[in-house]
Amino acid sequence: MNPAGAKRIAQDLQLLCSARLRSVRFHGLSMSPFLKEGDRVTVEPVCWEDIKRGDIVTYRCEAKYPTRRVVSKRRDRLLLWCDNWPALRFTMARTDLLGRVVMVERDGKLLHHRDPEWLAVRRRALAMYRRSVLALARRRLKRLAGSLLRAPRRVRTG
Amino acid sequence: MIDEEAVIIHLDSSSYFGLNPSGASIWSRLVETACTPVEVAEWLSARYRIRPDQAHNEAKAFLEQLAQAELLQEGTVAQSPAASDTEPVGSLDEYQAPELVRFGDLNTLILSAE
Repeated sequence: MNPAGAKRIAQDLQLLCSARLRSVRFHGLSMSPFLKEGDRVTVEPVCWEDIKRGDIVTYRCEAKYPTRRVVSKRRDRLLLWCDNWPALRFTMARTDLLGRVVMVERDGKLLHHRDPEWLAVRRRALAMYRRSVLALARRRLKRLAGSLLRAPRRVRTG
Repeated sequence: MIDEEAVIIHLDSSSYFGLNPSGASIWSRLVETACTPVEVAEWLSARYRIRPDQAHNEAKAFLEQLAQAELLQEGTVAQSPAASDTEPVGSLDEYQAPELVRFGDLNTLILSAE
C-alpha cells in the first residue's frame, strides 16, 4: 500500500472516529454562523436511509472533506448548500458520503444535533432554502412573462 | 481492509499503520478471537501452506511488531479459536511475511464547505 493511499484511508477513519480522536476542525465562513472557523466537529457514520433534510453531512471530494447542509434528497444523491452562501447549490453522490455532523464544540460549549438550539437553526436554514427556491421560481416566471410581452405580434394580411 | 491490506489507526497516539495481506489476515483473526502466539503460527501455516517453523518465526516477529506499536496487549485466552477459516488461500509464491508499516501521525483534519 502506498503512503498516500494509506493516509487517505486513515483520514477517512479519523473523520469517522472524530468522537474519540477529537481532531477534526471546521474552516471558513461558508456555514457561518452555525459553524465557524476553528469549531471542533464530531462526525459519525450514518446510513443513507437515516439522512434527512437539514442534516449537515461530510463527504469525500478529491483530497477535501466538504461539509454542507442537505436541502434535498434523491435516490442516489443529495442536494446541498452552505448556510452563508444561499445562492450556490452542490450535489453529492451517495458513494461519496462519509458521515453526519452530530456535535460542535466552540469555546468549550458543546452543541449536540438533538439540542433545541441545533434544531432551531436547522428549521431556519430549511425555511431560508424554501424562500430562495420560491424567489428563484418567481424570477423565472417574471422573465418568462416579460419575454412573452415583448414578443412581436403577428398581423394577418390578405 | 482494502484489497486484502489494512490501515489501522492507534486512537491514543493518532499514529497510522499499514498491514500487508498476511498481516491483515492475522489482524482480522485477532480482532475476531483472542489467540496464543502458537495458535497464530499454526493458523498462518495452514492458511498460507508454509512450513511450521517459518510460520512460527514470522508470526512471532509480527506479534512483537504489533506489541511494540501498542496495538496488541497480552491477555489470557479463555478458549481455543474455532479452526473454521484455515482454508488455504493463494500459493506459496504469492505469500509475503506478515508486516506492519508505520506511516506517520495524523494531524488535525480540516473540514470546510468552501
